[in-house]
Amino acid sequence: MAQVVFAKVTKTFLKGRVVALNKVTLTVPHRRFVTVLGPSGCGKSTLLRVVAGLEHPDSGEIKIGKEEVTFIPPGKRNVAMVFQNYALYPHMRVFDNIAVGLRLHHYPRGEIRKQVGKVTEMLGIADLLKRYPRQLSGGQQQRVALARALVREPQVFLLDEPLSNLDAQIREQTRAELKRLFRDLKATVIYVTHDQAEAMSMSDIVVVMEKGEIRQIGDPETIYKDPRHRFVAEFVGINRINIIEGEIKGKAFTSQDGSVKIPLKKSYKGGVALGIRPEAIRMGRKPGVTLSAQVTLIEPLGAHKRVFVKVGENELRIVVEADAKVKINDKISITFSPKDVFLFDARTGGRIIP
Amino acid sequence: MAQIVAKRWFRQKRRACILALLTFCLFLVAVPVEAATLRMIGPEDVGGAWGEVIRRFQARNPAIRIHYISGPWSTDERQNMYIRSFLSGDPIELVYMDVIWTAKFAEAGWLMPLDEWYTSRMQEAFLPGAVEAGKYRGKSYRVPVRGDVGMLYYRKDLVPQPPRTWKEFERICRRHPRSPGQSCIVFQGMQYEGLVCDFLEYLWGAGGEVIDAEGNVVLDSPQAREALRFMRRLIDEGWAPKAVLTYQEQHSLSAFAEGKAIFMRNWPYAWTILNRPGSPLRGRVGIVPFIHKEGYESAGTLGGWGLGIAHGIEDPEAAWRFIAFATSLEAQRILHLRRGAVPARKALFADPEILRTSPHYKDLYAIVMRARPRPVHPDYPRISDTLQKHVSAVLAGVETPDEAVTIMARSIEGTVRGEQEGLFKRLGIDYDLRRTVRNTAVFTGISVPIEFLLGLLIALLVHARFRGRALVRLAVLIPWALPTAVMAMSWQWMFNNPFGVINDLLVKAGILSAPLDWLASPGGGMFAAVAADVWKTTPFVVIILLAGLQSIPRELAESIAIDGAGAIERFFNLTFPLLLPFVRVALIFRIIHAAGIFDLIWVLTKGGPADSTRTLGIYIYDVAFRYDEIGYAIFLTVLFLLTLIGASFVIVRLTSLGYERVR
Amino acid sequence: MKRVLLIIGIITGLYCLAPFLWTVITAFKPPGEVFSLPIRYLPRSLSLENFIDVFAKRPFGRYVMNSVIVATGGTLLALAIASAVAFRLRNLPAYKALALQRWILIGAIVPPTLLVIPVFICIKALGLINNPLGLIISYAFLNVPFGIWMLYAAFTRIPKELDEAALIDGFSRPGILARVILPLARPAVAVAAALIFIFCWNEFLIALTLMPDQGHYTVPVGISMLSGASLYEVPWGQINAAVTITTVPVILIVALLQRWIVEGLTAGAVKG
Repeated sequence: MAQVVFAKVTKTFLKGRVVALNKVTLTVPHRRFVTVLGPSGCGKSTLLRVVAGLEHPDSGEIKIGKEEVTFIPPGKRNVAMVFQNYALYPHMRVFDNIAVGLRLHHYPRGEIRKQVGKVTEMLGIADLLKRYPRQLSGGQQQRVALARALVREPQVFLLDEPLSNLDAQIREQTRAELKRLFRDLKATVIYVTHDQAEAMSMSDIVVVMEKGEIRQIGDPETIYKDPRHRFVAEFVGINRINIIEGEIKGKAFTSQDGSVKIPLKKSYKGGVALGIRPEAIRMGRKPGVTLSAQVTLIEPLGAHKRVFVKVGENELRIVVEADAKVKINDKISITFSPKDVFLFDARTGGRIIP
Repeated sequence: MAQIVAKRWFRQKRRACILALLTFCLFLVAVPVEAATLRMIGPEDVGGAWGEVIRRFQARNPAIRIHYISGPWSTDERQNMYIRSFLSGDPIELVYMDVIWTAKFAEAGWLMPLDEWYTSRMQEAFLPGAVEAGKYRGKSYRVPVRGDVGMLYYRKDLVPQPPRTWKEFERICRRHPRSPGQSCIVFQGMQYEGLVCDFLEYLWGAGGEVIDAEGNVVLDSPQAREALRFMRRLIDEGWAPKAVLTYQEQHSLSAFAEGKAIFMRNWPYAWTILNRPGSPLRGRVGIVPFIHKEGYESAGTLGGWGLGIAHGIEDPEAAWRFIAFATSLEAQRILHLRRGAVPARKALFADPEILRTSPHYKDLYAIVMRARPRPVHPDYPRISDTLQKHVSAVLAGVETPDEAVTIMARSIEGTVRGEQEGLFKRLGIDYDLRRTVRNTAVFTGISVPIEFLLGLLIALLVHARFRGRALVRLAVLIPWALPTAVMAMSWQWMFNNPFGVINDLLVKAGILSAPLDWLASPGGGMFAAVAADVWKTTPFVVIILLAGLQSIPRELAESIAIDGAGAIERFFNLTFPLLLPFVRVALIFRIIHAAGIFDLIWVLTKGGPADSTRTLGIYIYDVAFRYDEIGYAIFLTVLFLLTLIGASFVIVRLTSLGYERVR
Repeated sequence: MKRVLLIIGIITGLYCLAPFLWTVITAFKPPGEVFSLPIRYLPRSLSLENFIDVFAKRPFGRYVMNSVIVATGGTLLALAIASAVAFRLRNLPAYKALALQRWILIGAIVPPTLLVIPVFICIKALGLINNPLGLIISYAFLNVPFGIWMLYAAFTRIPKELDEAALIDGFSRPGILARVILPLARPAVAVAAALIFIFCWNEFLIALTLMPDQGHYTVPVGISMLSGASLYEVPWGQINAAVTITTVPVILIVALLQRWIVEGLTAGAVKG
């Protein structure tokens, strides 16, 4: 297993009109599970492909282990990739699909058989060896794709949104299995997804990307509790964070419509966006900042309810217990602690640390 | 598992496989070279004369092998075979040439001059005309093997005193009693080289000439018109049957042998056949020089064959040895005795053995010494083509003698001067080209619309659902998949007279009153070509239009039906517009293909009869490979290509409906 | 209505098959009966003599051998080149590929008549006249545009991800073509091969020009040269037998693959 280093990697398409990666610098440590998280078009897939060798960067360097591999062909980098659509060879049986990489690297026949056997046992597909991909279910196909990657014993595993084609139920289960599997293997993994829940639950390190740039790198807890960029705060979290635009006048934050006023310890020049997570807001009058709100929409979600309220011109989300008594158009009070508030520069999105 | 094993094996043995493949290729490239074999092309060796000659030669010269390639009966075809072998860089060593090939072959540099061995003393032993015919620009390229001259055969028993002039001939034809169905004279009137031989005898006999000693074209003369007028009279007055237009040598011989004519123009070989034991005319036939106009001299067209050596071969010495033997007294005697060939050596006309079997050779000698060669010019094939075309047109009544002479002269002038002109000027004076373009336009203009109409109907048919549809579709595919050239032979067979089914069926159906000679008449030839082409390529149109029909969404058809459109309205408002892109594709393919058609016509009619089916494809091929003018041929090809591309653009424009301009 | 269509269908079928059927019937007649008058539509007796004669008295077997070698070689070479080109085209963005395709199609449209002279000059310069290799190369190049046309349509249906997975697995680019793309495009390859084979088998003009030597004739050229000692002696019985033999492989191929052939051609037509 090796570490992967990106040094100022830039990649553009369509003669510079689309910037997929903008001077990205990142170190994926040895034997760590790193997830690159972001919306479509943020560059995460490109990042993966650049490691794989399927794209060449316009500038910058990629290193796997000690070797610089920027322009080395994919087959020679000793990486393995699991594709979103599995990319199994339809005309080969499962055994051959898995074995093909080994064969191309001239492993002896007996060795191949042993390896394939081991891997398929591990993934529970040992009885499917003689089938063709079209005879398998989605989940089974995915395991075969995984097996194909595992059997190569590569330096780095690359996974490109492998769970997005699975049914929701299987997805969670598989998520756990994958995490366990790669932990047992002590593998270096670069995992790409747009699903923040996946990223948070599986990774050692999360890299959040937006528009070709890395917004923050950190472990899941830190990313959640201490977002360094508005985008990170907005993207991560089961319930989407509340953002109120405004500015800091004197030592208080005032929202644009004036309805929200929060005292602060510091001053700041320029526009400011205030973020507060729905989970951090309580219903009722409690110590902290209190605002009056009117209920506009209620989403019963089983274990809890998500309630949309309006404060002035701002629409906020809060989370309440399942049996909380609220109705639409109720006028309620909501409270939160100023410590839970994040302030971001309205222009750059960067977090303002007092 | 076996799959995996096999793949592995191949991968490991890949190097070996590649090597094997390369070796195989090299093997193909290295054409096996036969050691010291000399080849020659000749007609089928009926009677085994050549076999005997070769056998004797090889017995005396064991190191040299002679391979006699039995070629097609048509001399034109054999000439083509020689030309192709020269052009290919692998020339056939022994060039067995007709008299008329010498100039062309020599000019093109395909022959070796033989003067080193073939001295003037040697030449004296041969017939002068034959020797002359083997020379070009002062050098000799051909040693005569057989001589031949055209002459007049007459029924000794019916006409004791044969005519010498046209007037005398006319008198006999007018006065002499003839049995029903009997003509005065039969000759060779079909459009082919033989017709030129016949024509020249009239022309020369009237004092006319095609090309004079300085190389000027002097065909346009009152004498030429007279000659043609006389030939036409023969048919008009009923002295020669209309059927002569389909006669080559053997047809006129048959007719004469069956007593259907008093006179016949033919070559010496006929005598042998007419005097075979058991022949009804044995002993009743005489020969005299051909008739001439009063005040002028009789002339017979020189024929005959000789041997030359191809330029650039490995062992010309060996070739000369064979030629020396093949033209010796011994060999020519064999050729005569076994095949009735007229010797080219003067001495043999007094040879006792020969005179025993052919006593008439005493008379023949006088005639043959006065044989005249046809116009000596490297472009003789084109000149001959022109003469053939128009003389046969006059005989058929399609052109008047005056018209014909004018056009012929101009055409031949164009040919003779053509080499010296630049390409564009050449284009301007190329009369053959105009005819060719017209033929091409006619052919394309008739067959393409028919194919489209038929194709559309059949496509509509196959598109509808009915039982057996798959079989019909298979049947429809077959004509398109079969080789054109090969099926053209089948069509020849079907259009044959009298064994062709087409004549049979049409007569039985009452459409025709009598069987037609399809491939021998100008209109018939074009009809046959169009019919064969329509049959073969309609399937292609069907497939494309079918694709179009199947691409029309059903909902559209249903909705327009709900709107109240009947079947016909539906067709014009929905089906046809949506079909247009497909029609366009099919149209472009078909027009390009029809305009450039070669296979079908070449095999079916070779461009005849009377050049009525000679299309651009055939013409360009002729110019390149028969007239050996590759530069001009390429020029024509480029023009043709540009025209086709232009036509394609026009078609695309015309068939675009605007809704397609999404770009 | 269905009945009417069926009848029209039968008539159409007969019209299409009639010349061929007549050829076959004539071929199986005893040589004497071929020339009998009045014409017999159903032979009185069947005989194989024409077929035997064709092989015995002419080098027809040699012609068939030549045709087989040339058609097979041409097809293989054409497919090799076409698949490589189609593979490359697949990796281009669609608009570029289609533009290139248009140019390639122009090559497919030009009739052999116009190309025969340049082809002749080139092959002669290579010294490959009267050599099967010359004809194989010519046929390959003439059929490559058509091959590209058909293979490209099939190749683009294969997702590009497979290429990427293959690259990561360690395939070389030609390896991807041979081991992944071609097996997956097998039906299209088969149809293209069948059609190209038929074109090569049927081809006349180029074969006539490039193989003047009688021993190297292909079947269509050989048949057209079949003649007897004089005009009356055209051996029609043998000719019809030869035609029958020549057309058998073609008919077999068409019969087996007809549906795919039509599909393949129409797919091309839609794109055209």
